[in-house]
Amino acid sequence: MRLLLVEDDPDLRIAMVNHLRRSKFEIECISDGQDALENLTAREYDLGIIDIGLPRLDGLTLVRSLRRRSRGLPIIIVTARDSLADRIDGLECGADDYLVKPFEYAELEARIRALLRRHRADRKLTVKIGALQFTPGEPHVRLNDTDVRLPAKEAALLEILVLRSGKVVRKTEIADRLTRRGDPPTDTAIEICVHRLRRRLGPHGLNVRTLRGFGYLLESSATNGG
Amino acid sequence: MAVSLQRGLVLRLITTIVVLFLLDAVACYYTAMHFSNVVYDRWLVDSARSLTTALKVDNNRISLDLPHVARDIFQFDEIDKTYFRVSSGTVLIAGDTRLPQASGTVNEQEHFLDTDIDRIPVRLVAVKISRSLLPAPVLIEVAETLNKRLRLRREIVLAMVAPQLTLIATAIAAAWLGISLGLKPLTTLAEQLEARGHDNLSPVPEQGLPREARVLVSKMNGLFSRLEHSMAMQRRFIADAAHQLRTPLAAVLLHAERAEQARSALDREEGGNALRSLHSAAQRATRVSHQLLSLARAEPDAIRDEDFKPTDLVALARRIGEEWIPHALVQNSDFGLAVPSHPVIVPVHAGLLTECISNLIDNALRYAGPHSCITLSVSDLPVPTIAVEDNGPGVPLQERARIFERFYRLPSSNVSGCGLGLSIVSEIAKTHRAKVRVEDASTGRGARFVIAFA
Repeated sequence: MRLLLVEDDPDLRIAMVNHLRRSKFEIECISDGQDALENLTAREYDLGIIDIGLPRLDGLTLVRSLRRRSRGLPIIIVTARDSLADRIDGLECGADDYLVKPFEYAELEARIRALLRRHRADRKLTVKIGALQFTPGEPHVRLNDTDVRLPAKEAALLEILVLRSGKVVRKTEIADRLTRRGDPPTDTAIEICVHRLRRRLGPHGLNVRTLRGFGYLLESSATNGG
Repeated sequence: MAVSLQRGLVLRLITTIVVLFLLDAVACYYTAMHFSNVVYDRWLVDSARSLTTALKVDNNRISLDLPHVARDIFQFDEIDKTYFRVSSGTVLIAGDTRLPQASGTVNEQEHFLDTDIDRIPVRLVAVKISRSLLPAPVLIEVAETLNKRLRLRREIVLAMVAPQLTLIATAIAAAWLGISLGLKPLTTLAEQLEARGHDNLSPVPEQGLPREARVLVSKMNGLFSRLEHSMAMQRRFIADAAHQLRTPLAAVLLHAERAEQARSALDREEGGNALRSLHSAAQRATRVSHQLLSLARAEPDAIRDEDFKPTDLVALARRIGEEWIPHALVQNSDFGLAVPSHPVIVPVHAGLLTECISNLIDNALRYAGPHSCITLSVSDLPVPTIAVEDNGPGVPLQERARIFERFYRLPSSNVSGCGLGLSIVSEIAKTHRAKVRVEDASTGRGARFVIAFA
């Protein structure tokens, strides 16, 4: 995974690069918005981490110009500005996620991985979560290198859980997803479906966690794979 | 000074006076014209009538018997030139042919006309004489240039206008002086205020000021005292805040030094401990800075009414709760949401309320600790409420009144914190005119914080 880090503060840049290298990311750094723009159009990256307060070309403008050129690149904005208006500006200019300084590396890494997975799933590429390899649109999934064919409802449920991996999926969203094949499912039907999927994934170190009132979340007890 | 009161007043006064003066001057000119005409027209008529004495009738022929000397006397004038013509019907008896023909019917009365001869303006009078001695009516016309009249007019106008101009100048000077004397207390006040130091907000003395200025000064003193109060609050807050930040930063420094020394001494365990402490101190500093910012945002001055919008508390609670799920999962807490199936709409400042609820969830996670059970709930009976309930140690009855104060911490607590979280909650609730209270959890163990919108 090749990441581009655009950050002008040297201390923060060194700390982030050290962490990211340890997490086995390939990383390039640029300290200036204008250089970043030229670099990003010339080379291919899997994800960009961009600070808003940059010399020469500010982060928001950089993200906007990038969005005009290559729509696909996932971008996380990192900034010290955290008012609601700043957050909205950040996301409206085309960034996929927004992280406020100071932050802990674990949170940055979790967001990078979730974003990369979502991005892969969006492009119908294979996503790996622990022992699970899931390719959207394929009739079967791989669990610990064995192909497993899932019933349609469970496959649909797994797909939405994978697409939103790391984030909670509401019951209403699951109902919407499963309705396409007929009548909207009852709460009990959803719970049964979740229960079955949970039983199937459980032995492979994956869990569909229930969060009271919120919904469901797919988590892996093993370390997350990129 | 953007607008000078004195200049403004005097300017308005001058404008009024000048307009009046101009109107008066016009009236004066016309009056002068009227009187100069009355006087000189009389003379002109007399001249015309004096010519009738020189009329002679001879064999029914009318002639003017005017000797050269008399004609010279008649026409002689140092200033004006006089023309005359005597005619009967279409027959010219004597005089100047350049005189324009008087239009209209001329009777026994004098008929006056403003006209010109050789492009020089003249005043003309025509008199028709018909007597039994005369075989036919005789028309006598006498014209005179206007120099005398103009001079008289000029003199009258000057005589009237000159004293008026003096009067006006005096009035303006008096007004200027009077106004500047009247405004003296204000300029003195301005000088006093200007001479003050930038932090002197003591009241301005009101005695010796005119009534109008006293109202202003008393309002100003009110503002000063409010400013003074809010600045004192601000100073205290900054001092408290700096102190709160200084503590975790001191810890950061100490642990960093410890870690550095441990590395050189190859004391791995000591180094590891120091780094863990360093990490938690840095986390604390982060949290404090974040909370101080929230507190600054919840200040009444920073909030605009238009930021309050009707919002569904159910959707808002769900969104905020979802943000906190990862934190709950990390410490294996059972974090749940309990909301009605219908929306609960209340006008709120979404950004601030998010901050408020986040603080309550954060507190619950920290005080109830790992493997705790925390529930975020929304209800609309009897009033819209948002509540966060945990199964932690709870808040002792005698502490419940004080926990919302700034920098107050539970004496029994061993959870790190700076005592700002709940004061933020309370301030934000206040901006929403909502009541915040703490009670026992419904299960009997733990705390339940409720924000009730009225």
